[in-house]
Amino acid sequence: MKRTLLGTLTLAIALTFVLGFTAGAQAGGKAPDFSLKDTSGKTVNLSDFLGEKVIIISFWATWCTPCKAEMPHLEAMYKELGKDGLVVLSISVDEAKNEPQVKNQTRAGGYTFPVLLDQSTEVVTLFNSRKSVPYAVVIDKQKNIHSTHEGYSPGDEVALKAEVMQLLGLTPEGGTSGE
Amino acid sequence: MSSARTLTRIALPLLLLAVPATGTHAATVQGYDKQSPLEGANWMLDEGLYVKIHNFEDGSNYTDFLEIVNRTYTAVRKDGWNVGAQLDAVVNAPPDTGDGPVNPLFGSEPPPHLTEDGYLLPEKVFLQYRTRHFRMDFGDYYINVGKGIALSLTKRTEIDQDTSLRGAKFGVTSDNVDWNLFGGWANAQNISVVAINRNMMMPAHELVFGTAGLIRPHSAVEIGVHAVGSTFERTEVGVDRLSVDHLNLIDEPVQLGVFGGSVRFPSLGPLDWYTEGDLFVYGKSPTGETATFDHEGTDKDLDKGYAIYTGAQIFGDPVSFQVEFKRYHNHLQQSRLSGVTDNALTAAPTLELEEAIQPDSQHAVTSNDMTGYRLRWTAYIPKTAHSLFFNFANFFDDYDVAGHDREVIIHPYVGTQLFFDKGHHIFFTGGYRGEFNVEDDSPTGKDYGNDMMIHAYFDGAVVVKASTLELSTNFRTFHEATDDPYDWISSESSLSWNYKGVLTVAVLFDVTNERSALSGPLAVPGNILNRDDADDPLGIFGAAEVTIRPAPGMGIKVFAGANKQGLRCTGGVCRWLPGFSGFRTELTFSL
Repeated sequence: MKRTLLGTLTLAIALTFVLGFTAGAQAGGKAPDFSLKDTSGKTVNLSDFLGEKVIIISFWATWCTPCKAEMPHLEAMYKELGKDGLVVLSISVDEAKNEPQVKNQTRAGGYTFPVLLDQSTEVVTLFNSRKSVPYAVVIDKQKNIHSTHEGYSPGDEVALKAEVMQLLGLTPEGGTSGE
Repeated sequence: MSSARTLTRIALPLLLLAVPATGTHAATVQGYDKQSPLEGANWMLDEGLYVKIHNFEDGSNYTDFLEIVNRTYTAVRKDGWNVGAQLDAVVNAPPDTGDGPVNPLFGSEPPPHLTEDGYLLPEKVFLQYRTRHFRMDFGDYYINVGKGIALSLTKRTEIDQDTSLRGAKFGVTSDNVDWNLFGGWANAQNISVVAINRNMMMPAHELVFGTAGLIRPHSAVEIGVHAVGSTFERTEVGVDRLSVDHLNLIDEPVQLGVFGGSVRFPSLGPLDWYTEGDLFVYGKSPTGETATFDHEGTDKDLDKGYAIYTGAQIFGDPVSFQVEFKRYHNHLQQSRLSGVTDNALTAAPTLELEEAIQPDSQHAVTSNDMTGYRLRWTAYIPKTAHSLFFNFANFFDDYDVAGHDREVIIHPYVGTQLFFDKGHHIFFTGGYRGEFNVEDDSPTGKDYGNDMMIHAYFDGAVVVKASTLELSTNFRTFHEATDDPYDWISSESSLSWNYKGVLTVAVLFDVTNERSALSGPLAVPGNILNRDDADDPLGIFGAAEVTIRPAPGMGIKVFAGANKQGLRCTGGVCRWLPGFSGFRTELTFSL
């Protein structure tokens, strides 16, 4: 029994490394659709934007300090690139009892992007079973998950913005890349 | 574990791992002909490998041991279908002798528990189908009803807890109607990636079923109704979990029906107002007896209870105002925010600052008879993202069972969030919390005085080019008034340096003389840098942590040292961690 268990675990570990390094930790695949309520009770569907916009889905929580530091940058990106086809869907994974705090934080930051409520944690599990926050998912106009970003440190927004601009076909100066 | 069960548990993960292995360079399952049902399907994989060397203090009566945990979460999706599983495996070496520390999330008592050297468990298995207006779930799923008073089964990795309902759920949704019908058995995740996985005690699988609906007759009105039934089998850990030590018939299954409704006006001008009421009806046991609350000195008929919650927010410029009120009477709290717990089936509004909740002050959360309110003013500094807030909470704990004093709790605190150019920020929260006995003649016959806490939290970050230096510290001082009164302090601090989000180096430093942190079920008896003496111990915990993110979706973390229990944020991710002492590595990636 013990040998079998150890053998199985060894195999699982080996597969972990093989999968991890041969796949190069690629993100990808079509983004699964979902429906969530925003802070005013309005239903928002991911499919309303899929295939037409570049989408950043940002999972966060009121108790998460790095999330507070990241969200002003997402707001700035949304304001700057929204007219070019960027949508930011901010999804709080707070429990239902923390909904007032979600609204307080949204108001305090002056965020204009949709703030959705995943109070049952169903949607975050679709994208990030570890439910770590902040966690950003970038979806391209082909409905594919282009990349995922776990955690936030100041400066991360620079690389995220460059990635989004590339997907939007924009040059860093704001023009089109000609693609 | 029987051979058949073992084979099943081994075969399943291999099958799950074999599916994604067919297409390791893309997330789309490839290699199938056009008739294959998997043509065009996509799969996801969240993989984690955790290697932990537990190094206990000399003379602690615990043997150092190695623990390897592997967590695989995978799913295959196509056309609204989603099928998948989470498989966890753990191996301990040397083998468990049964006298070591236990997984603190599942209990601190000896048997019944599993004493095998390793476990291989399909923690979650699910099949889902979703369209824009219809969904059905088979296997494990999550569900929340209203504000979580009647039912809240969600993934709470921040406290290393993941309880789903294993059964079936059917739901319809539109812009104006939501309706769910559900049933199943509570299924708690057993293997932990942060806690000790020895002497594990399997939690009970409570039967839960019900229905919940929400209609919006107008864009400014939401009306909800719900009914939830449940039956709880008492287990060794059930006493703590259900807080049923004050309920009669604790040797019998406790049956409970919750019937409730809610009304919300989400946008009455600047006002957002929500109200919910729930009636708790305690049913008969299989032997025909009715569970009742045992209030000392009363002859009330107490086989029923209720919970009322209402909250309103008015958003103005530059000030917003929030008020919340709760009244819980004979309310069976099926979760606890600290201490020994397994399943958490509800998460009722506490109106408390959760960082201020400690083992001795958790009655604000777990009391079955509580009235309270919270007021909060928030001021926004024009043309900036800065904000200031003042919060005042006030509770009356009418938990009049034997051995507990009724008390009034007040808790004012202030805070600020300041965001500056280039990414610099400062966050601060600080306040005072007091618990005051309201009766001259204490039911316990003694007057020990009042409990008191002062708490402060600071987080500041400075950004210089591609580097970020961040200091975070949380400090509490507490006077605990009991027959053995004492004062304690507790703090958790971290100083981290991050380079381009790829490399994070952090130094962690905890100090406490809180007894539960040094010797309670969540404590770790080892590698504490300093203990003054046995009578008045002061624990100092130090550690270093390096995190590398070589590619999106991939993380490698190395930790050496010790940390006490507590909520910790480092490397951009926050989690509630039980104590740990030793060396551990983590490899995680997502596809």
